[in-house]
Amino acid sequence: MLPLELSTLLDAADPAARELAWTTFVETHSRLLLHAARSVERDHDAAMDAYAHLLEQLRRDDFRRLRAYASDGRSKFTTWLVVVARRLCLDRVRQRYGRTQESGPHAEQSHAIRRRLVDHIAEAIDADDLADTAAGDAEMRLRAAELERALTSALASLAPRDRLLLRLRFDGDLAAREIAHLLKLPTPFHVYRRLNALLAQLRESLSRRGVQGPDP
Amino acid sequence: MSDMDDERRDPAHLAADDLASYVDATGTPALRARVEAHLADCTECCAEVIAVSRLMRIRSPGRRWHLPAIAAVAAAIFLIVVGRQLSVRTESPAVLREPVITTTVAPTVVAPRGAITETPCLVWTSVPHADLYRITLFDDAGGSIWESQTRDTSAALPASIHLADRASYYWRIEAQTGWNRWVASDLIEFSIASPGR
Repeated sequence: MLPLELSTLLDAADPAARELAWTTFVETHSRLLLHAARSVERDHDAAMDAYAHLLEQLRRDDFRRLRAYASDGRSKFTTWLVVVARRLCLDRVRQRYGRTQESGPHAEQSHAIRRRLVDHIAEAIDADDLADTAAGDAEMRLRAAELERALTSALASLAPRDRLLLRLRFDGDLAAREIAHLLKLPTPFHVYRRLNALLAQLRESLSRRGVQGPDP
Repeated sequence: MSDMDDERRDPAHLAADDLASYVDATGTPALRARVEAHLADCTECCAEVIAVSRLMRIRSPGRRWHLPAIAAVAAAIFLIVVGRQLSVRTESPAVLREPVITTTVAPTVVAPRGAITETPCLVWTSVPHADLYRITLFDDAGGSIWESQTRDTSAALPASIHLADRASYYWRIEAQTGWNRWVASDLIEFSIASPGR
């Protein structure tokens, strides 16, 4: 079933009723849309521009995007709206500035691997150490690359759901409660238990490959 | 994934309705398994799930404002009724009050965290204006094994609590910031590695 403010908007018979319904819709969801815009554009003015862009795009072609929401109970309208709003904002940024090198998949993956490395192997190692030493010494760079390869290979051997769990915890820094909700685990304790088991499994896997600690 | 008309028509990524239903923890087990298999290897979609999950912590305005509106009306009635009674009873001069606290930070666990070698002293950061802290210790099955309250920012485990070697324990600190109002830290794990503690 569609939310009332959405069904009223989509069913509005004449322009006046449509304008009124649109005002109500914006009032109802402006806070969420603003947060979605701010999650992509940190600068205040840019976020407000993105918000205006969002409203324009949602209105476009007789609310084509809003009409695409499938009210089959698979997701809440607000969640769907946030996904669509963020994508609209991201597309706007990419159209204007292109995909930045830093946000590219390779850079993110490399960062993620190092984060996992820190959390997995020793906790004591500074994430920047690897990059610093790698920059200064060719041998260290080679060994660091080997270590990353070993970790990537160990991660690849895990089940997709387990890899996702590690991503959510170490890349996303999500709280155990949020991870439990996403993965449909009964309690945060189940998240911790699974994480412990996975880290032990990764340690063993790296150990078999000859990696014993943070120093490659 | 379904052929949703969203901003990312690239079939290499999740459709908006699939991603939204995953964040809402709905959808069939088969769909969820497909989404999880994709998320495990797609940095972009996984980052999107994380970002949307964070954004959805904010409740929709429709739900968010009903309760405060009712509370505001109740408070106004209370102030009118009780205020009149108080104004009759007291004639004391106005006094300065401390500013109202509008935001509250949660306490942060300092120690123990992770693997430790001896029976821990529990330490956390103070919370401004908090007058009481509640500590709860859980075993790895989620059962509460010890709970205590203190006005300090540290506490020692009583001798009656025996922690098993290499077993995982979790603890949380809550700070009381008002009447029946508590802010809690994250749940933190620790384990004792040394057999000779």
